[in-house]
Amino acid sequence: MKSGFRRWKTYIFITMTCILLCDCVQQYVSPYKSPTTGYLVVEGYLTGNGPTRYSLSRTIALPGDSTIPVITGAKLQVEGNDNSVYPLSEQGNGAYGIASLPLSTSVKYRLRISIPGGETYLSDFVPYKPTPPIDSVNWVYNSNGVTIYVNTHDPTNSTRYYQWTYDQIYEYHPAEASEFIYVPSDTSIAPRSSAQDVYTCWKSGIAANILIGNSAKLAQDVIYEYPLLNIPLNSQPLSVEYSILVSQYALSDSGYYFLQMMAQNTQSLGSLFDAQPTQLTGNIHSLSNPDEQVIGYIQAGTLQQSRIFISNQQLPNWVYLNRCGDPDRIVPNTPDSIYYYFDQIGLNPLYQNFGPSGPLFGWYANAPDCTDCTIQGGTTQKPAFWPN
Amino acid sequence: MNPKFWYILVTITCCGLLAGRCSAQGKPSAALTLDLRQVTYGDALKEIEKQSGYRFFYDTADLDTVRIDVNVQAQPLSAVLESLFSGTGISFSVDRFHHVFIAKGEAINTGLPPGFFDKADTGRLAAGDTVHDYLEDVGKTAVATIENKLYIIGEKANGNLPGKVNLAGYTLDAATGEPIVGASVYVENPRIGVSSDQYGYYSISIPRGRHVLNIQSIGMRDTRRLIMVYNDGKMNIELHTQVMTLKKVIVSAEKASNIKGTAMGVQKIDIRTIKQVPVVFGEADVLRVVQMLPGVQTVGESSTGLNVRGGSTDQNLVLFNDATIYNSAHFFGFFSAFNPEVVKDVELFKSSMPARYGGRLSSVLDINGREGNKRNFAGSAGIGLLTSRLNIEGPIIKDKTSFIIGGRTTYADWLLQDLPSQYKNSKASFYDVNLTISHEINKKNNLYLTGYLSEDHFNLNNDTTYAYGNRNVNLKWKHIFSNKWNSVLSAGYDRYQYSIGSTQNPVNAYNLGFNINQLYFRANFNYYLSSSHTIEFGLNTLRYKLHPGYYVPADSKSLVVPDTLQAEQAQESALYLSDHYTVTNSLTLDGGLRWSLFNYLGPGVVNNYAPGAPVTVQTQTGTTPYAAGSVIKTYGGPEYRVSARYVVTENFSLKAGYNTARQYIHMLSNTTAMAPTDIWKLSDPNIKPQYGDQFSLGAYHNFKNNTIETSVEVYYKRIHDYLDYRSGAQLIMNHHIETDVLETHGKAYGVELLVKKLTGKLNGWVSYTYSRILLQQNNPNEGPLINNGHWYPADYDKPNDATVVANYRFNHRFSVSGNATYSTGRPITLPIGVYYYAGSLRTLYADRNAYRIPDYFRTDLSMNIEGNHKVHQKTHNSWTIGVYNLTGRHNPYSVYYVSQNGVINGYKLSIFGSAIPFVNFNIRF
Repeated sequence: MKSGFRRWKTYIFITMTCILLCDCVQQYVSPYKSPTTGYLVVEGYLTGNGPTRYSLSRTIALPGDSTIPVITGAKLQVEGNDNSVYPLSEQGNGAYGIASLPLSTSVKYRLRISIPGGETYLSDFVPYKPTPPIDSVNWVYNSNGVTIYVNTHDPTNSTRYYQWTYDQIYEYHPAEASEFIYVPSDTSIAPRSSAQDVYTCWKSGIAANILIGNSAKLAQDVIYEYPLLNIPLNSQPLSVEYSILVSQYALSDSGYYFLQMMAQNTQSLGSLFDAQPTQLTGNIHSLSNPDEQVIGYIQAGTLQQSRIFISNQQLPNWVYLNRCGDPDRIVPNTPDSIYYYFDQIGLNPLYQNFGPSGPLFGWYANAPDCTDCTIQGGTTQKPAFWPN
Repeated sequence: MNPKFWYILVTITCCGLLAGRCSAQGKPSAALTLDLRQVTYGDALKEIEKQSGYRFFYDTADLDTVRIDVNVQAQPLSAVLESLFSGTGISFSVDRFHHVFIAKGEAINTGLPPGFFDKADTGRLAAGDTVHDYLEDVGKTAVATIENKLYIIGEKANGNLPGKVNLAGYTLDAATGEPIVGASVYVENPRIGVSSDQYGYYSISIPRGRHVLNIQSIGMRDTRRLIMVYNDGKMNIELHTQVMTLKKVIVSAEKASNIKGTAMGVQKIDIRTIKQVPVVFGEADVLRVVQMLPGVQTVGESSTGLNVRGGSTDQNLVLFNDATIYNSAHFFGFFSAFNPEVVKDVELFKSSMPARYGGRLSSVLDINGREGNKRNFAGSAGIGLLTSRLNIEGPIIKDKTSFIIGGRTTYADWLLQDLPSQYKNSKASFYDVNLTISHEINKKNNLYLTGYLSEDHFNLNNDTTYAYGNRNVNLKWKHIFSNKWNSVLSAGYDRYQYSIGSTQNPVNAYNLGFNINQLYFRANFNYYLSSSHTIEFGLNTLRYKLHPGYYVPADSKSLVVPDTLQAEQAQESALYLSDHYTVTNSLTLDGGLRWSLFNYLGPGVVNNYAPGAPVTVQTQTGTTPYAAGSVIKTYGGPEYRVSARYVVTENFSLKAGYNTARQYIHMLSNTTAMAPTDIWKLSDPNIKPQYGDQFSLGAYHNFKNNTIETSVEVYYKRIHDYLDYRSGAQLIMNHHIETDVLETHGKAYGVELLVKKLTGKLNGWVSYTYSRILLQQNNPNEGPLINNGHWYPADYDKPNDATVVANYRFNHRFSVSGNATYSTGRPITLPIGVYYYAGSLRTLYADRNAYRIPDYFRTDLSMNIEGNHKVHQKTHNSWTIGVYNLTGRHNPYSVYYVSQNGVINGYKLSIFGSAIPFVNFNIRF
């Protein structure tokens, strides 16, 4: 219902934009000077059957072009109302965690955060909710691309509020394979070893949207085909092989509304009928100044995950157009040419070119952005779980 | 110009010159014997001249066309003349040359001899003993159509009595027989004036004797009637539309209703003015024009919601032919719900709300529909880019019963073809239908049946469907007990509903809906006690039945649990009494008292909360069930409506007013613009009624023969128990909505300057308003403080607002209209910081409405081209061509920040980011 309304708003907005054939949406740079805030931001999920990880950072001034400051050296501990205490260890870059925790659904937990310099924050006690397993992660291929859905249900009808995150990873190739490599030490060309291969890469990413859903209004606690993401038609992620790991978390109702409010404030504005953005109120409080704003909501529950793969072969007519900006160039096999094209210009040799009479004439070559998959942000390190 | 008309004019003028001075000759004689029946004064005088030999000098216009009987036996001339003119205000003198000069006591009227027009008519009048009263004799209320004719009301025999008499009747449109509402009917000396009511009825008490009765109405040619009043009587007055005015006939009379009326903060616009103002898509839009009046603001171009003097959009009582319209927007707010073809005029009460209205704090917007043409079948149609409209009207029984039916629809779906493929299957449409049947049972009883139906539909890619609509029907009975006393009884039913449905996900397939129903009865009585007191009193009662929400499965496969919020019912009643008291010629008081009573009724289960603590889910102590029909909670109290006017000089007056109001129904919305999915909530034990009061002062000065009106009005207003929302409020399907709302209070103040010229080639108005509306929630027992308990501006607080609306009429077929409007940008909640969460940079919000969007400025231009003005042709065509937002300025509607692909982007959204040309074709038949 809520999402339907939001879609409607988007629709109106698009309608009007198209009707009037003008750029009705323009960049806006606020003329107001943003105050310095530096409020504490706490993000993480307290779980027993997987790693618990919290990251601490601070708010910065608009427009947010500086780096987000992370908080190091803080002391975090999980406290149960059975007087159990589990300290988290610092993992660097503002992250604190522990591989696993012996949490119990009969105990309530809270998080205590001591910032170096003195301020201490304490969350409310939250129940440890069992999360039902994911029934399936499925996908639909149509003219809009591939949409990936998650399905779950709780036979006890007690979970009701869910959050999902995902880690996606996909294999891809550049437009052309570089079989040879330029060796700068002796200005020569050598065949690439498998370790030097830049034809196959894997790129990963996480969800940048808040994905929450509920079955509060349904007779059974069922989430049916909740859309997680859409991969646009003929785009790179599905050009070879794709995998997504979906994590499912049970939420409390108030924790759900916290995230819903955050999503509404930051993801769904810009329609004709915007709800007013509002201040977020989480469940973490400063001990010395209870009115201080702290961004974050401590929630606890078991973690459920599910991974699926989608191969390009499963998608008839999915064509990712992978072209080079420039046509291939033949670099003659002369030291000057090799030095100029491979060292100075930085082309990658593709394969050998033989003249009409037979001997090696030179190398086909092209720019790294169409020959080297790492240029596009991936890594050549094959994940351990990757098939074949 | 019509040559026939010229011909008549010239003829009349010549005849007037020749006939203006008459004389007769003969030998003077001492005693006269006359036995004349059914003769005019002129004939009588001729006869006297013949017998007496005296020579008479008189202006024929002074002697009305009334037939008289003269029967004298051997009387001296002076006695004959005395009996002849007694009670007529005509004096005579005789000089030594046997010249008799006959003249009016007052200024000589230079009008035409009425006989030239009506010789045939006057001859046909039936006989009477003395001076003949046309009006009784013709068997029905005579229609006074001619300005220079003297109309006799009542029996001459009473002519010499002192005291006042009452004159009443209808003001009518000469062409169609439709009543003219709000026509100003007044005499100059002593200064007494009234306005015709919504049925065109007027009732005025004036001293016996001869008067010039002036009649004015916007859009109609000013006119006057020479009357001689002996007794109470009736007179219907027909007015001609201004278009028919010949250039050479300039009737210059007072336009001073703003000076003389006691009402403050009242703006009336007729449809002609509304149609001149350029609006986007070219279709005349009632609400857009109202939004250009001083003191009226709106949050943006796609909103038809009105913010009147710092009031929120739900604090306006929008009446369309007496029916309450809960949603006045079509098509995402780009069109208003009122078909311009059936609207007659619009009246907005910003400050002195008449006591007969109530239930809303800020204003009453009274939209009067037209009545059908009682004489001929007629119609009009308009074709625009997005909408078309048609209306047909005509008599059912000639001069008795008429109907008007109007419809409007859109065909905007073609636009949706251009949308991206995922919206290809989307649809958006609306229509509305109006019907009014008016029936004159007899002279004293009129019936009016009006109906209104509107419907909007959207369908998003065959996914979610939205629909909302208004349904209204009412029946009014106007009864005239006597000249001094009339009543209007009305009963009706109003409904507003919306529904949303989606079947895309079979498990979640749902239908969600809301509706509000009200059944009402109103009785209004007007009593014209005397020339100094007009009493109005009555009773309103209104039964509400709200279904605040239902959420049900759309089909059998859906797992949605049906959920229905309990229905709410209440009775809102009011008794009122007001007196329009003319203390002296200069000082007039209007005092009104309205006692309103609200009963929240069972059946229902009311949530109880711990007293003194904020109303939250945690402080709920239990529930109390109530049986059907039981009174759960009663609110009520007096509402005062007081205003006074003091005329300092002919052209200058001062006014002051104080009024209070109570509102028992609230709109729940956390969107800035009025959305179709906003719901309404009745006051209940946990939600108090809103209460507001307003002081206002005004000075009014007219210039240039009252053709230019200027005014300054200041006001200060307080609002109590206005609903605001907690952060993260859930408004839809909330079983304890009281835990998500906060009762705040507000103050609004401002000054409104207006210069208005409604006549002449150049007409229009210029207005400037400075106003503020501030809200505060500083009661910790109520709930979380908003902005730490400080005052904060409401969403629609736009301090500076200037508007120019102008129309220049080059000739009768071509006019150009333009308007320009400037206002301060509205307040907005902007992020104060940025944080990283859930894979993205996100914005941080703190205080509400601490910043403003950029200022608003827009100019529009349009040309109205009329076809030829031949009266007798099958159709009359006109074109409206124009450009909206001429400068193409990107006026911001909102400014927002959104997280996209992990980063924050700030955007400025304009509804119209370029100049929008439009064309509209209208046809009348």
